[in-house]
Parts: sequence; structure tokens; C-alpha cells
Amino acid sequence: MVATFLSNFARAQRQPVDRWSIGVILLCGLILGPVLAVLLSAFGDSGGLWSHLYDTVLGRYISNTLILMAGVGVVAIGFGVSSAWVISRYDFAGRRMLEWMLLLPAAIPAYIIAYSYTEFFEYAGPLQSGLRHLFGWQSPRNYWFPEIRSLGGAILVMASVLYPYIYMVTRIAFRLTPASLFEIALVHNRSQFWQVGLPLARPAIMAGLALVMMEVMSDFGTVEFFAIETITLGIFNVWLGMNNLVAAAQISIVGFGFILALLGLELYARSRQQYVSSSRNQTPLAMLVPTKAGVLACWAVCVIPLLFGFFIPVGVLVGLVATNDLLADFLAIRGIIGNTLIVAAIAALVIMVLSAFIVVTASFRAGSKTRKLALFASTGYAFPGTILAIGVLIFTGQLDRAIAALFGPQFQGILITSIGVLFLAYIVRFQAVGYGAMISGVRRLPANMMNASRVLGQGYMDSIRRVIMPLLKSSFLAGMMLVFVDVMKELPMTLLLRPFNFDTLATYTYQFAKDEMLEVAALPALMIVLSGLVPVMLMSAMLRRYR
Amino acid sequence: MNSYYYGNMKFGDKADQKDWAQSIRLVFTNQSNRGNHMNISGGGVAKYAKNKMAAIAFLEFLTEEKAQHLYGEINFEYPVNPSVLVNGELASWGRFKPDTLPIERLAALAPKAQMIIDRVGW
Repeated sequence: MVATFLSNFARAQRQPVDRWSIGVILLCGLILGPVLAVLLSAFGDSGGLWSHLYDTVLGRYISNTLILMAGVGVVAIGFGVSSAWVISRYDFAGRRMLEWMLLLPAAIPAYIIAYSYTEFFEYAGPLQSGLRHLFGWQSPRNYWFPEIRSLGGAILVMASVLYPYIYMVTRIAFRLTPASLFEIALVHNRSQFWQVGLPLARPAIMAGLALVMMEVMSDFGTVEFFAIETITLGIFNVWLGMNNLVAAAQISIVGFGFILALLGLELYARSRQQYVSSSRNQTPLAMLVPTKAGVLACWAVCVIPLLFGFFIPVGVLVGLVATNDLLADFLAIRGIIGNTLIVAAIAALVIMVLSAFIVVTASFRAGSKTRKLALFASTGYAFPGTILAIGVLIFTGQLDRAIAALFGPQFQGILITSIGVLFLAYIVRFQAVGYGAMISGVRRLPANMMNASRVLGQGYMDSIRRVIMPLLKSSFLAGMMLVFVDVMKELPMTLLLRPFNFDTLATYTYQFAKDEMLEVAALPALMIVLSGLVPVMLMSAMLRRYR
Repeated sequence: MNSYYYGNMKFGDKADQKDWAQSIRLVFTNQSNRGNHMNISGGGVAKYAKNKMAAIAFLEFLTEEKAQHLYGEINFEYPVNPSVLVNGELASWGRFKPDTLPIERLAALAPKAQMIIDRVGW
């Protein structure tokens, strides 16, 4: 079957498929296999569970997911666009500092801010305890306080850490909007924001929004902690609560629909974005100078999202760490730190080598169909970890069966019982990050670099090794850092697929937070946040390029 | 609340948690019908485990008198071995009627229970 597929592939391209391209096709098969496995197993028999789910919870899953996505979207746009506008158009003290600080919340995974907010805002937390003390209230009957573990709480929590996606792209879009257009608005006494800035930044905002909504869709830690039944949590509950993988795969199909819609939105928005960035600034636009009250307003617009998205959650964690014995805490988790660093480093290296191979071969060797396949194989990032975990498990099970049939029964279950299954999941999910880093590196290369090297008499392999690879080194390293951090904070797949007695910082934090003992896990949580600062620095360097 | 949370609050190193533990009265549930539900700390041996014999020996040790008392003293868990007596702090909490439904029945009924939860919307 594979052979006929390959020969069909060759015929369609009207050229012999070389071994490099075959390698890429096989790798893409490995990456897409788990996604296909979910689709296929959804056709299995769930023992009538599907109709039960359809009658009872499916509507709730879908409506909760939609409300959460819409709510987070609205709040994140509010935070991201308003702060991007203030930073782009107003000249005030502290602007330069706030410009990069506004990216800081991106360092915090949503589940960690959820844990620390609960610690802070819940009945026994410092805020409510302080209020009770201050006003002499005795019990929850004496006063009303919003419940953080609710749909509204989840919207606030997620929007606070996801708005940087929108802030970043909108900031760049405002920067690239031609100054002359703002001047026309000034001349005609129209609003610079509503009539020029916002309409022209709309494609960028939409692209950022699509990313934000994908993150909401794939979030597991927050919705699980707040007990908000979204599609992603539903998959988890049906799989583990009802022991029904087929029904879980069937719910995943509903999730697929959402993801395809979001990928479509992102692609559409990106295709429109070209139009915005096509004309470059000729004359720099004079910044607006706010009044004294205006400066205050500018600060408020920037500081409020920062406060919610970074300073409160990090403050809570730092406060918890400070009350503990730091050395004892560190010694308790040193093995887990080691695990996390090793797993993240190996995964990052493997993923980057695979991505480099796929991107270089697809760009310089293979035909357009292989290129499309490579692009297609990098959509794994959009899928929630719970869906991919199901796919990886089914796929590995099949692979194990094939291995046992080929090499003998002593190899029964060799992959599924090892950490290999977790690595496969990381590859499927984060290959897209490596692919993105490498492809943007290749696009920056002069178009005829490869041709020049070949004309000068070097073979394909030599050209790659001596010309292309040295030029892509920084892309490789940047991609490796991003994958490293992504693996480090990954929660649902690690939780579901890890071997026995194996914890990462993320799963360790999850387990204690789940038992409402965040104080024990404050240090690992803070470490995850610190590692998340690395991609924030990369983002900030990117913003600087558009200054 | 699970017994070990109560014990850990009562004898933990957090002053306010000690106060909370002092201010509550232990009540065992369902004493007039099926008895108080009990969680278990369970163990098993994986099908493809490398050291099967050692794993079984360890599990057997955990069910013997010495280990069962350690569970009680360190983490305030009741002995699962019926021939081991409840002693120390746990004994001072009093006797109660436990639910005798076998734990594997819970696992077998879990999907059905989840379906009821789905229907009722808990």
C-alpha cells in the first residue's frame, strides 16, 4: 500500500522520487499518522456511548468552548489592541519599557496563572482573608465575592496571558501603516484609531485572534482546574472516566471542526495581511503627546493587562516560594528538574534535526507536492494535546503490533511502555514550531544561493553542508529554544503518556495544584515561568526590528 | 474530607491549619445504612514489568502488619489488611461502619456513574 502510494506520488510529479524526498514523505507520515489514527478510530463502535453524549453533554461542551473562545477573544483584543495603539501613537515617559514588558505575560502558561489566581482569590486566599479581617466579616454569607473558578474567571485568566499574541501583531501592523493615511485622518478631523489604524490592522488582529483561540481550544490545565466542560476536557473525561477511547475520538472529531475553522481564519487573515505591509513608511509620523491626564490614561491602558497577566500571578508565586525553605524545595525537585531539562533538550534537538531535514529537502530537492505535504504535517500544533495523545497511543499500538509481528513477541509493547510514545507526541505537536523557524530562515536566504553553489560544482549534499547549513544556524538555534520551552511547559500529553514514576515540572505542579497544595509546587511553577521568558525575549527582539 | 488530610492538618507544621483541625468534629457518613465510603491506596504489577517477583514481594510487604501500621502513623490511612488492628491516633477517632462494596465494583460501575452525572448535569 505504501509502495503504490509512493509510485502514484512519483507519477504525479512526473519525476523519479529520490531518497531524500522519500525520507520526508515517511517522516510526514509518522507525524500525520496519529492525527489520521484519531479520524479512523472515530469510525469504530463506541457501544452506543455517542448517542448518550450527543443527548447529554455534547451541547454543553460545544457552547462552553464557544463562550470561552469568544470571551477570551474579546478581552484579549481589548487588552492587546488598546495597549498596542497607545504604545504606537503616544509619546510618554516609560513607553519604551512598557513596550517590551507588555509581552511578559506570554511567559506564563494559562494553567499556572489559573493556579496562582485561585490561591489568591479563593475564600481562604490572602485577598478574601484580608477583606474579612478588614471589615470583620465572619463567613461567606456576610459578603459577595466573584468565584474565580468559573467561566468568567477562566476568560479573565486566559485572556491575561494570551493577549500578547494580539498585542505583538497589532503593534507591528500599526507600525507598518503608512504615515500619510494617519495624516489624512488628521486633516479631515476623523479618528486616527477608528478610521485608519483599526481597519488597516484588522487582518493582523484576526491572525492573532486565531492563534489565541487555538490556544484556548487546546488548553487543558485551566479548564480542568476550573471544571469548565469544554471539548478538550470532555475528551479527557470520556477517555479516562468512561474508559472509552472510541467515543473520545468521536468527540475529537468535533474538535477537528473547530481547529479547521481556526486554521482557515488564520490563513485567510494572513493572506490579507500582505496588503497592509506592502507600503512602507516614507516619512516618520509625529507621535501624539498626551496631556498629564493622558499620560495617566496611557499608563493605565498598559499596566492593567500587565498587572493581571504578569505581576499578580508571579507575585503570588514568589510570595509562596519566599515562605518556603528554598533549598529544601529545590532539593526535593532536583530529579524532576533533571528529567524536564533532559526530555526538553532531547525533544528540541530531535525535532529541530527532523524539521531541518524536512524543510531543506522540501525547499531545495523535492517537488511542490512534497512541499505541500511538509506544510500539512506542521498543523499538529493546532490540535489539543488530549486529541494528539489519543492519536499517538492508537498509532503506537499499531506500530508495536507491526514490530512484534516482524521481530518476534519479545518486542511486544516495546514502544507503548517506554518514553518513546511521549517523544512521538512531542514531535507531532511541536514539529510545527521547528518547521516555522526553519522555513522562515530559508525564506530569508537569497533565492539563488543553492543554484550558485551547484553551478560552482558542488554536489547537493556538499552545498547543503557548506552553504545552506551554516546560514541556517541561527534559525536552528532559535527554533530549538522555542521547542525546548514548549516541551518544558507542556501538560496534557505529558500527563497522559509519561512512563510510571516520571514527572516533569509541569506534571509535578499540576498534581499539587490539583490537591490545592500550590505552596508545595510554587518553585517548579516559577521555574516554568522563568523558562518562558526566553521566547518573550525573542519576541521582543522581533518587535525592535519594526521600530 | 479524607482522613489523611485531617491528620495532616492536625499534626502539620502550619499553625492556622492546626486551629482549623481543632475546630471541627469528626462525623462518619452513612452509618445507618451502607457505611462510610473508603478510598484505597492500591498497587498492581504492570503486565510487562521487568522485575515481577520483586514487585510482588514489595506489594506483599506493604500489606503486612509493619507497613500497614506505617500507613497509619505517617499518613493517617486505615489498614486494608483485616487482621491488622487500628491503633494510635486513628483508633482515637473511634470505630465506624465502613462501606463493604468491593473496590473493583466501583471501577466497573464508573462509566455508568459518569453517564448519570452527564444526564443530571453535576
